[in-house]
Amino acid sequence: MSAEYTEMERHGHWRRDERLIEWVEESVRLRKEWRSFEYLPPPSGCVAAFESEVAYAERNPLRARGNLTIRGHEELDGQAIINLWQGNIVLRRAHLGANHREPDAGRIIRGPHIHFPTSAFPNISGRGRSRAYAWEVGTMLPLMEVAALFARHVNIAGNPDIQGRIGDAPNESH
Amino acid sequence: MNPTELRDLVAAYSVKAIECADTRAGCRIELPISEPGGDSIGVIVKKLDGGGYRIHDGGHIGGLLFQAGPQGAPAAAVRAVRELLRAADLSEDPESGVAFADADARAVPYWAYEIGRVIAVAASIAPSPALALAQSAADGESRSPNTRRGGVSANGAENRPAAINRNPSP
Repeated sequence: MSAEYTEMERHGHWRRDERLIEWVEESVRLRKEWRSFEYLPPPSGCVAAFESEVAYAERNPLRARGNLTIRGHEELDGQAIINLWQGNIVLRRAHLGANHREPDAGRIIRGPHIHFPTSAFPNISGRGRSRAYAWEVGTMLPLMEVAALFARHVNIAGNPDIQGRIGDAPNESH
Repeated sequence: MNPTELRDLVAAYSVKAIECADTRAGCRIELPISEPGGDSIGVIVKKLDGGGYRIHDGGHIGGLLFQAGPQGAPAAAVRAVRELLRAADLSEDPESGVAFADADARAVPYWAYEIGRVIAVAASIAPSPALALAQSAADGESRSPNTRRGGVSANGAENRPAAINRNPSP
């Protein structure tokens, strides 16, 4: 059982029949690799943004629909969010710069955290509540550093594009 | 519980949830309200050279729209958020792009909550309609020929607490 699973297990407050979503967890576990990486014009009030395509590097038995993409951005105050999408579904969302409260008046996770879907709270990007676990990384990291750490966390092998482009980002404030 | 006790209870909860920290954009105050996903809502307060304060979203509204879907927010959501900003009398800084209001010290709390409210509503408007798809997956639609329990993991299921604990964590 990986470190992040152990962290999830500690949370408590899970509903009686709440479960991890197996295909999501398998997608996160499978080895992946970068396919493309593009800096994007930062959204209003933000200092950096990127988008990249990712592909499974091993046989994917899931027949999951939609492409794997990652979008990340960094806001003026240093808050950063990076989403790993499969089609329209967020498999994992890294969030630095704000706290998170678990659903059902659950505990507060202070500092960096990663959202993950469960059967009770499946929609990280939508209007519903979502679960998260603490992510042991520094706060106020440059976006590309967060991206590299996040890539390792969700098993994206290497990251030659990102490593090669650190410091090249337009409007990069670091 | 009488009205005084209720007021004290809610006030204590709110005070405990409020945090302030310096960021490179100014002082960030976390309000005792959350986005739908549970993330705390914070606004930035920065002293202006000429006096008064600028209260702004730190770029979070733009970030919400950017992350609302794999291709960003739908145009309708962007229009709705712009309308929301206009209705709340917030301006967009032409240089940084943040949504802001300038005020004297007494009005800082009002604008902090006002911008917090706008962020909360924007977070509700922005997402693309992925809920149905995510919900169907979570409800047990199997995507995997290897899935044995209807697409939902049995991982740790027996170890889960048996009921919701509704006692809020501090």
